[in-house]
Amino acid sequence: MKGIFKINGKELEISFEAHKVLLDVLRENGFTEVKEGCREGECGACVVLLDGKPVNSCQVLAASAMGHEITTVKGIGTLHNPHPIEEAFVEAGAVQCGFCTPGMVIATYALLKENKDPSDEDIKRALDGNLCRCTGYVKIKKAVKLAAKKVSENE
Amino acid sequence: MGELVWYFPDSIEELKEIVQEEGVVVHGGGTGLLRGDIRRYKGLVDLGKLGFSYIKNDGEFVEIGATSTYNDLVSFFKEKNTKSILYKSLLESATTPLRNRITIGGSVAYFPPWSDIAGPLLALSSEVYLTGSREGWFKLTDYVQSKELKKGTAILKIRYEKEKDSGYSHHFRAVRNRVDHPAFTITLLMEVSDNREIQAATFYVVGSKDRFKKLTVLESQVIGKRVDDIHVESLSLDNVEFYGKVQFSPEYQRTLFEVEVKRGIYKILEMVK
Repeated sequence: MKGIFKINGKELEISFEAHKVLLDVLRENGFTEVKEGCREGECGACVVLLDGKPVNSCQVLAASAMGHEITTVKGIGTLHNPHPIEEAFVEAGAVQCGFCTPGMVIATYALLKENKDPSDEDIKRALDGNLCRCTGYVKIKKAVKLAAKKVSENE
Repeated sequence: MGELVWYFPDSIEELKEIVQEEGVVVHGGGTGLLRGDIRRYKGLVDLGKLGFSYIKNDGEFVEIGATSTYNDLVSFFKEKNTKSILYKSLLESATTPLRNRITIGGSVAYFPPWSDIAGPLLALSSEVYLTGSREGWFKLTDYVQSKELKKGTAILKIRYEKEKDSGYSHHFRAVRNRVDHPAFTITLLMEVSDNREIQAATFYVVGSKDRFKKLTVLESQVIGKRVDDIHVESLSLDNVEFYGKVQFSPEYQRTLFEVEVKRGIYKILEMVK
């Protein structure tokens, strides 16, 4: 089947098999920043924003996402123009192997859109769908706090 | 297996016809459907264009559109009623990205034993509005047990009397960690009068061998009693059995059930006191 997908602000016409999940359609069309982890909605490596809300793209049937706004981590910042959240993750040392980082950044972005000054509990809850098997979560929590500060300063 | 066909109806009339076709199922958020190979279906119907993502709280009933997500409900009740049993249960359910995707209609249609919403909706005596081969409001308890009501129908909305969610409540999830699927859940609702008499009690366990069970033996021992006259330890429990699950053995679940039902009642009585 064919459909129009709005990815990172651009409309793309994509051909895909009707049973495919969004994760596969994104990766097969070059959006490899969306990572494939468990494919069961447990790890959060594949999290993207769908109409501004974080979802596990492995748990979204691609056809149901046609016409909706999809944002991957590349839609938030770039290598040469990183988002303050991405800077915060680097500065706080919250990145080790980096596989979970796109999902973590997306979850943090969604949190800070709603809550400019999140508590530890707010952070824990917002990132409850993102697993990191390298760093533990202390540095990640620190990165989110730093990101909140940076985002507020940038506004 | 033929090519899976997607339908995006613009009207209820169109939906009505599509859902009655053999091999066509309704797509809510999709997380339940994805537990199997969706290529086994002939077609999937997406309800996204029909405007059933809403929660109404302005009359006698709370009415929830079928495509409202768990997080839609959490946000709604965070504003309106944090004592709601639905708020308590869904706040702890799954993870943030999954709560943004799991829909109420999908949960009711699929009704998995680990669902955090099943117990609360049963305890609230909820009703579902169907369209397709059957039209109108039906009791949730009838819907989940009837193949006939499920065949050729789509759930459009769910409702319950607002009054039923205004009392004391407790929800327990038998999990190993917070993001685990519950092996079973316990939902307790109680209405207590100003003179501390228990006027109504509705208790459910979901995830037992019976799939779900109303704890009528237990309910009958507390209804009509004064809060101060209830001795939790001496209450007898309904006979509830469990299958072994990945998380826990049947024996462990039974023990956990006995402990947690009484602990829940104790907590509610403490709230009243």
